Amino acid sequence: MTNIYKLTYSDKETALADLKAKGILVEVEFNGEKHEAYGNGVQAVVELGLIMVTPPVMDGMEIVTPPVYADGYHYDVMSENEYNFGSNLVEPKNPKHAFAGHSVKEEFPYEPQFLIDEN
Amino acid sequence: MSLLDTASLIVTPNGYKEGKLYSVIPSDGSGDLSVTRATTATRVNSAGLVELVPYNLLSYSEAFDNAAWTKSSITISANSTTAPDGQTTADTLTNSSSSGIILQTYSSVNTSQIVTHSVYLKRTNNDWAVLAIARSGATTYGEMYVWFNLSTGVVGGNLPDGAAVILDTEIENVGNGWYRCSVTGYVPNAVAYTAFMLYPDGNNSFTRVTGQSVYAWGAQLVEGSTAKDYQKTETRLNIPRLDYSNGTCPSLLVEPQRTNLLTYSSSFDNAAWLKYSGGTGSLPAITANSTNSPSGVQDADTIVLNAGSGTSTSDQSLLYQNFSVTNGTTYTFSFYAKGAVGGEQIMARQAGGGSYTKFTLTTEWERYTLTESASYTGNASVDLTIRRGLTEPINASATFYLWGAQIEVGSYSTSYIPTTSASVTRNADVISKTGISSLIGQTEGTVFVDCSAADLNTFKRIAISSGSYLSSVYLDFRNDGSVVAAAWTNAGLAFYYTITPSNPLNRNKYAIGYKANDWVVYVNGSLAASQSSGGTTFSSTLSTFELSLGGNDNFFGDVNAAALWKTRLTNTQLAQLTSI
Repeated sequence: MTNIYKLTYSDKETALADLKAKGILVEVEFNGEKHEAYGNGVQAVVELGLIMVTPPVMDGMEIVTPPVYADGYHYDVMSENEYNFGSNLVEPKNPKHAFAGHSVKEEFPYEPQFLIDEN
Repeated sequence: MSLLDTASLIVTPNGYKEGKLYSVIPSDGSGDLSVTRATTATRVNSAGLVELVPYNLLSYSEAFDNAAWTKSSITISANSTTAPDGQTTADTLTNSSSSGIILQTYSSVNTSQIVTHSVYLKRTNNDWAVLAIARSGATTYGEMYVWFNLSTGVVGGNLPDGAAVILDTEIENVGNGWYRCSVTGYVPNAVAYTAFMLYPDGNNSFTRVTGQSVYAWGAQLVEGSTAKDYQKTETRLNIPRLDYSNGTCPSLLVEPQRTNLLTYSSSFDNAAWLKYSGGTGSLPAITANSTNSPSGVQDADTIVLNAGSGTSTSDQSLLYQNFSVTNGTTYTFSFYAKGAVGGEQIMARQAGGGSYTKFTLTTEWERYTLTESASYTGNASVDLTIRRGLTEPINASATFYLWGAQIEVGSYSTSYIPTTSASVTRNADVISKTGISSLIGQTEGTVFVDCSAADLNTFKRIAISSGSYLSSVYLDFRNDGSVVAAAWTNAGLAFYYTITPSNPLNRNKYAIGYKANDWVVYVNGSLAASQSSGGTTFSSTLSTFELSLGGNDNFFGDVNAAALWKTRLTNTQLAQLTSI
């Protein structure tokens, strides 16, 4: 079972602290060397960071109006495990990120328009 | 008996299915490697084409009872008759009311992409079936319906509704009453398609009668105008990639997690790609889906950049897309391009935001890459342009074909990750086999790997182990560019030698032989290291072979073969085994 979580935190440090607290990111040691890795069952952690919701207004190559970013610092997590992220879990209407082979956003149920019109 | 016949485990890029890479030895399935990625991916196939893995866009293609298929007033009797492949895996689909329909949506095709929907059907108590493709949305609506007679084996009527365009229909007799029915078409500006079927009582009819049914098997939706060979799918997510980038023999492509930060990566007419002209230049002219791309599908765009007659830096024609960068991070931009006549020059820059790099195109598709680091955090753009006065001499205009743009964090490009409205992540390939202590020598043995590393920036390991490095024999491709052959036993680090292949990024053959007081490493036919001391008592049973060590430090690169022996091969045998 694959679970995809879309997460928003106030900043990167808060996000990393929560992901580590939940065992999603772990520290592993090999021959005295330590580095960060995914916890068991975690398939991907994607640091989206700041998400641009409105692109900059350009005059030629000059930025007239800077881009507008969504509130918060964003991560996507894919895992076989289930987690309770509380209010950090969000459901964006127009996701800016997807995993390959997984729908950007659900299209179901599709209702064939011609058949509906016929009826 | 050859040397290979004595191996306890041999894995080559050969047979596979979702989640598994079959071992050559043993052949009973006990040595098959587990493959996990949890995403789709792309590869270069045996025809040299960039191909989505799997190319069948529908999941659970033989299991219409699976929840992946949305059913309305259709009952499914799973595995109820013999399928075209001789297995009892075909389903019976029966109308349970007058509104029976079954469908599945795929939502990440390129804009206006031509698609082909096919399915194997066989008559039961009803002659007719309708195969359909649809797209409905705020700005796009189109549905195409095609009737097939499963009694006579002919295509009946068709109905393109809304903006839908039907390009082709086909019915093929595949024997034993089975027909492969297909419809090809597109809906302008569609970015998602729904493949669906229904079973009416006659040609050009939508009337469905309760109890009428057909046999169905092997549904497929592919990009392009041909149905392609049928490809069975389940989740679509964990298929090992046999990649032919390096020639006629495949290698197992093992890649790290990467995200294509660009949207609409092959739809340059989309508004996500901004067009700008300065001075005497003209706006880039884009003709969508105008020629066959490296995927073999007509989904590459024609781009015309024209800076005009001026020669100052203000004279330019620019195609670009914004993306966010982080200070100090390295990004690699890649794109496939070919010139209309060859010799066209274009310029590019990306996260660095400074000087341009000039590329000269040929009349063949080539993948071009540009690696730059960001020196600030914020908005950046990837630019494809002709801008005068900076990299002179350069042509004033260029007509070329473009496909598969990608920006990823990292110092090298990985396989293409198609995107539409969002950035897309391909997860890391994780390949291992646990529970095979009977195939691994516990006190003596040989580990052989024929591979090339993808980069030398991170630690990458190929190992037999207990699941922990504390009982292991491994090859370590280190971030300083060296390769280490090592082992941990109950005495600690029992064996540790840095070996020096001329270039770990090239294909090399490595073998470690281990036996008490008799350790040896061979590389490419030559003795690289030996040690006449050190026991081979491991703290825990060696039970795992993996392209990582203890689930960490995944190996990324190409693997041509891997094998284990439960004996330490002789030096002569090791030299023979590793000879290039």
